[in-house]
Amino acid sequence: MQATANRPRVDPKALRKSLITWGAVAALVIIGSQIGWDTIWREGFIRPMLNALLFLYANVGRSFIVAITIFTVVLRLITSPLQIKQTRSSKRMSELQPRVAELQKRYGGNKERLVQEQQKLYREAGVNPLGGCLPTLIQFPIWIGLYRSINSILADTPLELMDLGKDVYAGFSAIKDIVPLQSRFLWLNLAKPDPTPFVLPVLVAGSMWLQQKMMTQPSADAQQASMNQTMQLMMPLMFGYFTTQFSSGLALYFLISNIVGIVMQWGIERLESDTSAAALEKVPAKSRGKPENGSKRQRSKAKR
Amino acid sequence: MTAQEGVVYAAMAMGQIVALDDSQGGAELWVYPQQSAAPGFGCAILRAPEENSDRALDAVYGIPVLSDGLLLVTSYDSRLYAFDRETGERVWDFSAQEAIIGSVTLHQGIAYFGSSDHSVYAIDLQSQRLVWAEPFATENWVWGSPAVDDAKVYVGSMDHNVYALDRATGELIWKTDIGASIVGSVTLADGVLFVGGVDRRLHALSKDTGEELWMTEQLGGWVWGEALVRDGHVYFGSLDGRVHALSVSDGTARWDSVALDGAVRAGPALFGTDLVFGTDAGKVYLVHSETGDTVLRFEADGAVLSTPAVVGNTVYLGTTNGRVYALDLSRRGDPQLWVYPPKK
Repeated sequence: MQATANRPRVDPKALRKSLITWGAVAALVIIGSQIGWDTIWREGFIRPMLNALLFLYANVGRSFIVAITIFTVVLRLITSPLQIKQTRSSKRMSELQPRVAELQKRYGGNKERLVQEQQKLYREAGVNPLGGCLPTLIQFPIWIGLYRSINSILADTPLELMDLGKDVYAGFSAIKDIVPLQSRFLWLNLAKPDPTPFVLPVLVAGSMWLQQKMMTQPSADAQQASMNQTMQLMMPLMFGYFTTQFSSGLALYFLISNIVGIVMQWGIERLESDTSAAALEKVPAKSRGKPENGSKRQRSKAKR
Repeated sequence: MTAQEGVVYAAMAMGQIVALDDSQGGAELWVYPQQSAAPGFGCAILRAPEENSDRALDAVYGIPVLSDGLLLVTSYDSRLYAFDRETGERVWDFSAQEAIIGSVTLHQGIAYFGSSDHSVYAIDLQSQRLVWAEPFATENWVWGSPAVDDAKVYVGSMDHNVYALDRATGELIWKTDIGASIVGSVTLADGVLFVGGVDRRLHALSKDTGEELWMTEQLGGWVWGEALVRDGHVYFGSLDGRVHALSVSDGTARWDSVALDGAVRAGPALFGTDLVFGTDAGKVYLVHSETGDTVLRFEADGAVLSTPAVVGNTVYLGTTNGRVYALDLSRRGDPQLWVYPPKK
């Protein structure tokens, strides 16, 4: 009986989730090794994205800017559950920071115990510390696929145009009317970097900084806070530099994507705070005042 | 890739131009820019790009063309370069407004070419000046090489038109809208103009009037590479990796199209009664012109996107990985004679 009591409890829901995840990974590996990763990448990401963009271009105003804006909004809407999940996860993590700091103070000398206690805390709070990374990781192939698609669509070299020729669906007959795509927008040749060369880099870096600032939750851990701050600065600088090197069409995608991201983050924040407020109202006043529930304090800190 | 009198001229990756000695296994005769002339990093930076005579060219997509003592090379950096074919010294250059993608076509000392600035140029090689009062303006990029006869210059543009211009004045004689962007070159043979489009068709036009004589059904991919005409038949490839043989007179198929591994962007070269086709998968095929029988003869280490050059039994081809191969396709077994730069 004693042995049974000490055995770690298995949450059937978590087990099912884990089995589904690893099953999907195993299936993907098997399919990839059979069909070939190149084929999966090309048929699963590149061609659908490229043809969707071409379809929008051909049917909505023959403007790359309009096409990429619609595409970005649709893509952001499709991936919005991930963004909501990411926001919730980082918010919860942020709310747990005072308790994590408490644990660090208490078990600082015993690393093993500290890890155990932290894991216990996360488990009880229903938070996965790596949960915030997964949505970002899932979006990476989309970004890379888009980078390749945009380069092909705005082709101004034979190699890029050849990629477009090979990737366009055979049934997409409008292609003969739209190649080469109109690549002039304001002062920009969309196939080439911004000639100024600071307008787009500054806009991309600025909008990315704002988006990062909105998405990063305040951290009580000094080391984490410092890392967040560095990331908040480094990422926009990096993308600002990329913008000076990449085609301005891609830079415009970064900009539009950031703006859409900012608007969506603002919407999610509003939605989340309304949900949290409603949830708080349901909690008895006694519980709300508990010191270990740092959410209210964190929220007000975040708002500041 | 151009080969003449035992010397192979090629444009390499990173904008280098090389002359290789075929009899010495592809040994360098000269390289532009010359390594010894490099004045050092600082000096090159301090000078304006025009003054950097040792500067490498931007990407080169067209085939280098020989004219008397000159080697003519077009570049993505908007210029037509003329090099001394013996020494590799840059003799002169001519600037267009935008990238020059296709090769020049020579006729009686005049170089004809198109540019991404939408224009068609005619440059006198003696004076390096425009022959016409001004370049002929189309409404979109001109990436293919023109075809030229004594009276006219024929060129395709991405504005969907094939233009026939007066060779002496550059004035428009006729134009025909084929209904799709024209990416590649125009081929003139047997009084017929052949041009491929992104509508996945090959079009045959009368050279006198521009009237469309026939066009193929929609193929599986864009028709980009130039066509080769021989004995009343026209041979060409398409980006879906198929090779076609049609009758010049009415476009009927000589044999069923043949599938190769990889997209066919370049036109074929004639090797006896066979056609040499390269693909973007690096495969080199011999296709029998009369039967369509196909044999894979070589696998290069990069995409073959330009038409091979054939001299006698030797086929010279370049890859996008920056290698030049000399192959003897007539011999059994491995056809490779040499490769430049040699593999370590």
